[in-house]
Amino acid sequence: MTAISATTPAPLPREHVVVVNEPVLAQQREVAQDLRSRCTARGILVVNLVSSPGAGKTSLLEATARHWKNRYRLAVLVGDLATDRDAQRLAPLMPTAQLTTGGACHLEAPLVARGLQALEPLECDFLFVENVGNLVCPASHDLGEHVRAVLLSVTEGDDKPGKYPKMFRLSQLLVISKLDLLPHVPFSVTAAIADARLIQPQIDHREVCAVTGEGIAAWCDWLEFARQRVLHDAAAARSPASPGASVS
Amino acid sequence: MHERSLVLNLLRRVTELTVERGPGRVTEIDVEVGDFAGIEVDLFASAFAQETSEAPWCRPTLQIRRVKLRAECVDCGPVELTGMRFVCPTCGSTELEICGGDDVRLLSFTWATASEELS
Ligand SMILES: Nc1nc2c(ncn2[C@@H]2O[C@H](COP(=O)(O)OP(=O)(O)OP(=O)(O)O)[C@@H](O)[C@H]2O)c(=O)[nH]1
Ligand SMILES: [Mg+2]
Ligand SMILES: [Zn+2]
Repeated sequence: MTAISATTPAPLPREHVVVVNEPVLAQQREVAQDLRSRCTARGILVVNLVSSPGAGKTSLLEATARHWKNRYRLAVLVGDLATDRDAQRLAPLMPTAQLTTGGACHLEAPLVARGLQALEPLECDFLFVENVGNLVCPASHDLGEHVRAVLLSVTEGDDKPGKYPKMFRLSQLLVISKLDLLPHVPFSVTAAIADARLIQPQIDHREVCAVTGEGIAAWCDWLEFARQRVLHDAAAARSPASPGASVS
Repeated sequence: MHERSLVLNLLRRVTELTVERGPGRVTEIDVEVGDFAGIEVDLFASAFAQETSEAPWCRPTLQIRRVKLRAECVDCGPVELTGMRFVCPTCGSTELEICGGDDVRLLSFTWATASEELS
């Protein structure tokens, strides 16, 4: 009865179960956590920019650099399936490193860590990671960011948060983009925000237009505030000597 | 696409954990997939079948346990969430801490070795 074929080996007699019980992405998350702490220690706020393809991530970064001019030092890691088109657009504006995923639909923390290395020695206040345009796969991958901002352009429809719940649940900011096109499309800003809040009640929102510059200042203020909060929390965690001290 | 990348991460980890074990092979891998893991179970299973069809793998069985999204409600304690609605099914609160069912976990694997007379 024991037919031994070359392709399917016969069962081996001794079997035992090795219990592991850990997330499949545990090691990636450690890399992400390490990256985040190192950036915090250097005063860098890491922003993971996510959206569906073409929602305006690169345009928003261009507008951000134009708005801040030399006020803050910016740097960017650009995820792209195969081309370096976005990196070429951003390189004149800030230190830029290209992360080529080789066809993968999302970025992973080890690739981001390597990209950061390519930018060293780096002095910056904000490190942007432009993720691959995709509302599904990037949701599951912590890249070491302090904040995740999800762009939703008005041409995509205000029902998208509920359709891609994981991405919106795990983002701190909803950026509604291409505001100039609002008169041409049936999109309700309040409906989009309400839909996102069903998934993530704490999510903030900003409305922007990269073409006219509308809302860019408010988006930049949000980033500035997020950076201050992260650095403040880190400083407070480093000096726990006087727990009753008032926070200025 | 990202199902395949998860499978590769899974197999890399199992390989790491078996490297010191000497001769033998993995006959089964047991994973937990939450409702909110953000993967398509069918795609995950087919990526797994494809990636384990060749050496050093010998087509191990993939055991997938589905679990519901679980949260801790500030008022009601542990609750199960359904339909991707992040509201407590008991009190309607949105102050929930997700505590399971949002991930893909490697639970265990089965390692088979030959007994002395066979090896
Ligand atoms: N009307 C209008 N068009 C915009 C705006 N922002 C971006 N666009 C246009 O939308 C298209 C896509 O913009 P990108 O900035 O390349 O979008 P992206 O999210 O970086 O795209 P991928 O990286 O390919 O996912 C371009 O043609 C932009 O000119 C905006 O505020 N208004
Ligand atoms: Mg882009
Ligand atoms: Zn409750």
